[in-house]
Amino acid sequence: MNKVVTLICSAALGALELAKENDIVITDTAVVEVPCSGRVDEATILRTLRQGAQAVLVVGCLASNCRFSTGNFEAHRNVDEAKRILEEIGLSPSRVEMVEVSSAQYMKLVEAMEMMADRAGELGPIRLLEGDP
Amino acid sequence: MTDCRSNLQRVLDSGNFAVTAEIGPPKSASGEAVQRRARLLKGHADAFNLTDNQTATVRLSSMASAVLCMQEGVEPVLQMTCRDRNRIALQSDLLGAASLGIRNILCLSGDHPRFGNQKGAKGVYDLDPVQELMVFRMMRDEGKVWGGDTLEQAPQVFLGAVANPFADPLDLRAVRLAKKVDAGAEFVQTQAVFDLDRFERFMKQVRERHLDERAHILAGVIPLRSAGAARYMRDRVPGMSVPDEVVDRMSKAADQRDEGIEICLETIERLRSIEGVHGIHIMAIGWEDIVPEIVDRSGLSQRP
Amino acid sequence: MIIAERKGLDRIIEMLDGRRSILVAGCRSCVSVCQAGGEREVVALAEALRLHAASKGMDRSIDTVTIERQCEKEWVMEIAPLIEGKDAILSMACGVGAQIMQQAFTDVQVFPGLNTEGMGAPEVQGVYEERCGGCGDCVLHLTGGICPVARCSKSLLNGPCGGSQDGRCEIDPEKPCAWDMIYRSLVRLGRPDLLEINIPPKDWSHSHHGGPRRVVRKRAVLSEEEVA
Repeated sequence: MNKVVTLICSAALGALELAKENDIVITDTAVVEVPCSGRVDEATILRTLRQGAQAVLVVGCLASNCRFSTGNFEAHRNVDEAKRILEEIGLSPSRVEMVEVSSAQYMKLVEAMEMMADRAGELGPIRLLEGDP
Repeated sequence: MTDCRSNLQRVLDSGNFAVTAEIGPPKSASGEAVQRRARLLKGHADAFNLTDNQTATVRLSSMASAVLCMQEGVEPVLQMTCRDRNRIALQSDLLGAASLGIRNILCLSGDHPRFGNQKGAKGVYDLDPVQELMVFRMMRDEGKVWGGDTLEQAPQVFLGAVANPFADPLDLRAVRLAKKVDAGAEFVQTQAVFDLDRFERFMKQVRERHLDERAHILAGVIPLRSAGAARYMRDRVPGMSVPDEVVDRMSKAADQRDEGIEICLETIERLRSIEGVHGIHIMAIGWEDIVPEIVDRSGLSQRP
Repeated sequence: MIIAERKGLDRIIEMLDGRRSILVAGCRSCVSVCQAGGEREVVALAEALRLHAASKGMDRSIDTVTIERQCEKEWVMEIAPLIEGKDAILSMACGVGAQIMQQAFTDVQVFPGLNTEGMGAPEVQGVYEERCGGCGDCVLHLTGGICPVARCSKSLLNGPCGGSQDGRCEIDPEKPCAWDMIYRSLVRLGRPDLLEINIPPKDWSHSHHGGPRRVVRKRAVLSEEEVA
């Protein structure tokens, strides 16, 4: 079962393709493409966790390279907001993270995904860890 | 010229250089500390300010402290801030003070509740110090409370205000003083002077507006006890200006305490030479014992 | 506009303890502008509450709605069908809206999701500052367009206190000194003379200190016939 959901913008998707071309196998994460990382708002991140993800990785372009100019800045703010909310409701903010990659930086992307898979493993599923069944 | 209502007024109106000092009431239901300080300081100044919950910290009230002082034969200056009382209480307290023989009243806004030990308190600020002066003067000169109701007997008080030549902007400081004098301030105590150049510039503006002819200005001084105290005042007290030279001088001194007193004495000497300065106000809160020495060594011990 | 801020989620969760069927109601007016209780915030908050409930194994249903203006009962009444079966309404409007909601739906308890912080304006996006003291007796023409009641920490009407330094208020270096701003504004407007006038004690009876206020605009009040 996929523990991590990766929400990746179209521009950065190239990095994923590059990873596959280099025979890197990505496990434990479901990948969802979005037109721009800025499209991912805090509600979406929270819903993703509620629907079974143990961790969420948002992938956007490098700071000044967003094709919509400020989408990745928005994404950072949304991810930070989601982290704050998680903390306030008693869940670990490290379940959510954002990473910036260019379409050539496939190793950076892979490392980020592996990091989130590790975190998901450590933190476990949300229901069992933090609540009484 | 009105009859002198207090010893302080008498000293100032007769052209003598006045000395006032401060007594900080304790955080206590016992007034013994006030009485002890009053006895210690008696005769070394013409009148003594009793602070009003200074730094917005709950202390024995200034009014009660003033009465305790008078019991020791010492003339008080009652500080009445706008922070804790509305116009009803302020006017009532003025009548109360006058009925008890308190004559010198200092009107000031008061440190904001944020500074003290009651940070959640509702700051009243019904009046500001200019309005407080207007109201008190009306009570005294017209025998009426604000709004027109007649008083059976008017309070005979000598009204004062504070001035801070070291807050910004400088240009506005003399304007603000003018407002207070227009509103009824007859004596003015300034924030502690360390930056004499700035103070001289302020006094020049004061003289240009002839404010020194309408109100008596007493320049504030604080004896520095240590270099740490100097640094604290420079860096952490809003509205105080302590030049780096003073801080350096304190840091390099062999005996900081003595150096602090020296600086204070030099400041007083220079202040005496400034036209328009009619006295000094010594604020040695927590170090009241040093006041007699400062007064003596300044050559001001012969109080008129 | 009214400026407000969402209460901490821990507080909201505490308030809603024991409630199982909640309606989160936002407002498209002021609280949307200051991003405290608009549709986006309502949706995010609902997701947060659902996630929290799931993490606690709690059975809870959360519905959402965002009302045009929660202070106007005509708009509030439009959502009446959504109240059916609810045991709590979390209002994400200002204190006014929350009260109108409770007044409209008397059988279901309304919980305030926001803390209202006064009347203000955006300084920049994301930063909203109190501007008006609501004193009922405006003197902005005397103070260069800067409210001394709301923007001076001591509501002084006659110039700065002794704690004004570098244009900052003594209680918080982040806060500008209102009287420093007033001085500069009056100088720019060519009216520094206004600083020399002593403003007498304010009549606070026009403010909340005179009791809760009621404004009647006669021209707008309908006759009984028209209402019928």
